[in-house]
Amino acid sequence: MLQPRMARLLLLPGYALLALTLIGPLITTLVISLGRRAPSGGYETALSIENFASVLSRSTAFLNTVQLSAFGAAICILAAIPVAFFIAKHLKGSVRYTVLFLVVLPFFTSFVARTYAWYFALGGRGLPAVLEWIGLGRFRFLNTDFAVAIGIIYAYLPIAILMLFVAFDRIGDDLLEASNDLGRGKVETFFSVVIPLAMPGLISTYSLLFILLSGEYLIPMLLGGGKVYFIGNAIVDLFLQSRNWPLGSAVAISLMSMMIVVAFLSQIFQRMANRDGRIG
Amino acid sequence: MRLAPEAEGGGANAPDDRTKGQRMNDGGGTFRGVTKKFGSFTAVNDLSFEIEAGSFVSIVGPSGCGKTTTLRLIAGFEFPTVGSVFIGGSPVERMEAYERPINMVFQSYALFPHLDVFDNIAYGLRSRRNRRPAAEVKARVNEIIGKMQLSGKEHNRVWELSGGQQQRVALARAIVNNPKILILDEPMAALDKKLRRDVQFELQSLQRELGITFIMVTHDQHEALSLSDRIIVMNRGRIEQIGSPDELYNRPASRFVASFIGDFNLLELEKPAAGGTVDVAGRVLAVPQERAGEGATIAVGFRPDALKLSAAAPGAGGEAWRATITNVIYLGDKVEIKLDCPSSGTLLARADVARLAERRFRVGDTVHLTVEDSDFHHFTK
Ligand SMILES: Nc1ncnc2c1ncn2[C@@H]1O[C@H](COP(=O)(O)OP(=O)(O)O)[C@@H](O)[C@H]1O
Ligand SMILES: [Mg+2]
Repeated sequence: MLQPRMARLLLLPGYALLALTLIGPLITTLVISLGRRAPSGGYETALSIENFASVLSRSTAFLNTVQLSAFGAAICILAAIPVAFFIAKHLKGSVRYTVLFLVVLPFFTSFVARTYAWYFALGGRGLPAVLEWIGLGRFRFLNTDFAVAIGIIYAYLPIAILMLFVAFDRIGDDLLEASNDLGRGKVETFFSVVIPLAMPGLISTYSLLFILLSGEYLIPMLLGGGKVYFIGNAIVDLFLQSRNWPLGSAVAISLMSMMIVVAFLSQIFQRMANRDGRIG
Repeated sequence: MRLAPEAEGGGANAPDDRTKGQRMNDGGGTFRGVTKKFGSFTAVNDLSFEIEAGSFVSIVGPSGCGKTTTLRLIAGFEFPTVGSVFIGGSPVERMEAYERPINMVFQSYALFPHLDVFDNIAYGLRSRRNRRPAAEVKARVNEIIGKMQLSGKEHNRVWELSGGQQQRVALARAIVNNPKILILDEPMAALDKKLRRDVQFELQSLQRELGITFIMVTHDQHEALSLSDRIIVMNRGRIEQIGSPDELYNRPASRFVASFIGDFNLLELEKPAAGGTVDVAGRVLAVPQERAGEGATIAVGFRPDALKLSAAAPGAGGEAWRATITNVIYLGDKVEIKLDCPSSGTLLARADVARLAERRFRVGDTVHLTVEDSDFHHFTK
């Protein structure tokens, strides 16, 4: 065993890195958000909460973000449930881990490249061209909510599957068999045993997806084309276009606060579900 | 309130000491040539047996011999690779577990951690298939809770209960559904020794009272001997012998059964004896009539109670061997003596302490051994 003092010493570099890359920028952002835009753009020292009042001017972005994140996370979970359940409860041995590997395989290519792939697939010469050729009429996918939703689901589904796999895998086969034995078929067992016991996992998966999605920037930019505007896009515009750093920082801080609230609520709900299920 | 299965008749005769059990019972079970393979591995090999309705049957055998697989074939969690399973005369191979009139007490108990005691027990009565009106569920569950001494625990979380209480919840959750057959997979495995004895008695009384067919897996042969009407001894996926505890103990069909059920002194013969007599370390035994047609005797043996020790060489009528005492173990009313015999290896003798009172055997003593001819068992397998 390491001496406690020695252990603390070894943790120091980690803490230093954390302070440098996380806490430092965070404090900087907070300070800037309380400042004022310099006449030529950028930051000027001041102390006011004016910027936070102006955050509301970006309420459309907030609403968009919350709606699409809530919806996207829900769709991801619904799509992931059957896959994760199948892997956890119907696949055995090496097949199971091969399939899990295939699920995470997309992560081995760049996120940007994958999103560009959708950009071309949904763009004018992609799916719409195919549908028109078949004779189903003219469609437009790019720069719609639909395109953003597709991009989001595609990008975040593997995470949802992995997390739900863990939640389902923890539920003992004997519980499912006991339910079967007591007269309940597969579907009924799924809703009366699997879902309640996986509830903490479902909640944490949902909130993680929600948080990841609300910080999303690339997908709305490429597939939403400026029409579907997330907070992430608003922040980028504020910093790079209007060069209003203080407002940009205030929006960023507000977004982060929202995420913290979601994470906090998730903890509370998980704990409530845990009390009933004991299985995390 | 009725706890026994509702169906009547069915042909099988319930043993007469079952009072409540008489109005049932088509809760018999039959295996006909059942084989279960997992990949190329044969877990259960060509099992055929009948289980009488209303009886208490134990399946015993060493770990990995296929006991759990056999239970799972009855419950419907596994399906035979070959062969048929009947319950109450009807084939059930095509029925899923939730369709079979059978309930199971799992080795792990498999209680639902998200439900309290009451809801666990009510689980079967609230299933879409077998849903009962709320008032009936309440009455039946409360009755079982009283019977299983769980009163006051209705709204406890199951993981707050002791092992013994959890086991009673598992039992209650199964029998509240009035199954035709209750199967129990090593129900005592998780209990401590002291509690086990009490639970065994309770289980036996419960079975007599309900008249439900109980099929219990255990690896504890004492448990099987004390609880069961019939015992199925399994070894390597096959049945070694089926019989009453008395038959298995007094007329074991194979060396395996003799050694597995109770203690046994087994003497392997150097070469199989095909004739009418067997030579055991210089002693000639006649092969008993009922074994005569079964082929060559490959081993003989006797129970520890049949082995008599004496300080002097016995007189006429008893052949004697000499052995050295290596251990003396007092078990209260009995004493067990372990011996090292040059001709037969290690032997075990057991006798009433009272009978040995005048004669104190000590470790290191050399004694003469006597076994009556009629106490020898002869084995052809
Ligand atoms: N689902 C399964 N897949 C592969 N092998 C299995 C499976 N279930 C049981 N077995 C094997 O079958 C044999 C018998 O198992 P089991 O019936 O559980 O034995 P017991 O209950 O007598 O200890 C064991 O060797 C076990 O490894
Ligand atoms: Mg077993």
